Amino acid sequence: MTIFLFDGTKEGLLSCIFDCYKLKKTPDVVSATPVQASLNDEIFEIKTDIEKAKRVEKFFHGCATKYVLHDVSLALRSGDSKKYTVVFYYLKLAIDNKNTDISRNYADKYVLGFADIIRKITNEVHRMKGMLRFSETVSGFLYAHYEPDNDVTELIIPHFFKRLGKSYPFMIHDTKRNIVGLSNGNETTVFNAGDRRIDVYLTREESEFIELWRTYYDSVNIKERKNLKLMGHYLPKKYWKNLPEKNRDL
Amino acid sequence: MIDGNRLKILVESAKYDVSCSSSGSERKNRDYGLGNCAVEGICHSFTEDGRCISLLKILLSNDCVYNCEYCVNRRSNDVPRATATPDEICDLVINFYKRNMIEGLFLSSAIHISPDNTMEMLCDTVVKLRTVYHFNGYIHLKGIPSADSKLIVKAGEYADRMSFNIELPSENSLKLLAPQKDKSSILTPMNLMANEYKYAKSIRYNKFLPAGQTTQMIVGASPETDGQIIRLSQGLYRKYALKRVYYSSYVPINTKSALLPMKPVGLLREHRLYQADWLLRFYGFSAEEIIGNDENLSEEYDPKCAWALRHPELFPVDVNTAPPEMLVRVPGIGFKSAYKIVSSRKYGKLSFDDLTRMRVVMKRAIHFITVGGKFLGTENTKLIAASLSSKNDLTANVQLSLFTE
Repeated sequence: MTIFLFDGTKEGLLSCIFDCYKLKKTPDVVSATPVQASLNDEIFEIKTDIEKAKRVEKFFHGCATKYVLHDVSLALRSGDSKKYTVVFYYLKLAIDNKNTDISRNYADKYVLGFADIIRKITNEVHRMKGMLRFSETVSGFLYAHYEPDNDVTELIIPHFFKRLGKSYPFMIHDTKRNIVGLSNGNETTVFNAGDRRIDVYLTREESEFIELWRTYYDSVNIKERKNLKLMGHYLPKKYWKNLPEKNRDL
Repeated sequence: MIDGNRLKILVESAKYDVSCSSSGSERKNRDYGLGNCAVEGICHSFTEDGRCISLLKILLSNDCVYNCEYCVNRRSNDVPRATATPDEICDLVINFYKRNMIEGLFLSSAIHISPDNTMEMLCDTVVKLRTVYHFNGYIHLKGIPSADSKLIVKAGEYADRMSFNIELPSENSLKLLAPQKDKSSILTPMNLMANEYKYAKSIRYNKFLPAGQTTQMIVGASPETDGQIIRLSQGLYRKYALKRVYYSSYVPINTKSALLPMKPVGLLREHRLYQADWLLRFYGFSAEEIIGNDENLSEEYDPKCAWALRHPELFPVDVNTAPPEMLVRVPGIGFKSAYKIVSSRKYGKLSFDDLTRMRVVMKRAIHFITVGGKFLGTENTKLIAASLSSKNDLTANVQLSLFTE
């Protein structure tokens, strides 16, 4: 088996593509984390090279498959550990079929796999537009914390910026990756907070609204039609932790 | 701020209205306002009955002068009564909305004092929410039958969607179970709004009910067949350009009444009606194709399977050549897989394995398709029927995506 190891960046992945053609080696696995290799595995550590990445990028401008680079940036936000191999093969397929748009050839395993990755991300973006809860802080801005599967903070910020507008500055905090998205009412930024701890203080009235919301949640339910399976399907347990109506300790 | 007690009363009386969608409107936020509308609709939570919470569903008052047999708020029922002020409602909407708990407001009311008075209160609340509280999120307003037409049209300028509930599937049942309402008091405002809506569209005025009209009816409280109900829905879609018809299976919530059935109608009937409704709206079926006038939908097969079983002469179709509108009529192929088939078959011939990967339900589809001339299903109609039957997994099929749009 041939394994490519790289740093997990978009440029790194494009360098992998470059080296794949240069070394005439097609990897079976592309990974950003060390993999358990067996004796007859061949491992290549691919160094990220901006020049190589640029040359590959330039190639895609003349390629029949549209939006490849945009889609790849999106797919790399996935929390799926197998994404690099799928994305790599998708890119390779687009290069090998320079004159045909392969993006809708769902009969191909990797095109379908790539579409699935993208779909999971856009699905989560849509879900998070609904399943994020803000609280009012003493400093006057709204604060929400969540733990999405994929790195979607940058993708949901525009939605909330349009919605909350100038009167309601806000902060969205991905506590899994410690990524913070901010709006001051006029513009937004997204940054990785690294090791920094983020402390916010909620207003005293906040707990009253949470209680009202829980009352609403309980009252609007029709007991005679209990269907927990259906609820679990739409509202997966993994999101419950950050929802006050499901997590009563919050 | 409204207290928990009154909130509970006003919500528990409102929850039997099934409509919850928040889609169809593209209202934008303005300078220092709050909120906008997402055209695709957004669900914010799901309750234990599997229904979505998208809007704050609440009554302005549950203190009703009417006495409809099936309704929890009927005058003769001994339930706690409460009324909220327009400001209390607005305040609650703003506070829930900015915390991203809801997508907007679904406001309804019992007939408090008189229809005109109630409609005026509803209208005032909505106008206040838009102009004083600068709220630009979604508003679904229930129309009050027999209310003054000027009030109704005014409300349409501020709400995103309005609905007049048809309540029961026939005029006779309405007379029997909701004696204070009649057919014309519901259909007249519905027609008025449909005409206003059409006119607004024709002059590209997009502020009048951008998300259109819907309605709701109770199924199983009266003797109508599914065939009659589906024909009624088709008529409503065609005549009044409704966006949705909601079906609510009857749940006995009131003290015993000789006019109403004792037992609740199973959720399966409601599910089948929604499936048939989807076929009407998206799959290009007509009510006549789905079901005969005096028939009920089969419990065992979903309406598309039942149709396919009645028409063996149309099958099998070849997935590599069949037109898209025929593909979606194949049991086991839905819109998503039909799209994948149509776009990928341009690249080359598809195989059975490709279809499985595209998530075609092969268990059903296999008897109705050929792939490159090959047929792997069976000609034995009994076997086909058995494989389409949902008897084995009824519980799994009871309710799917009924309440989201």
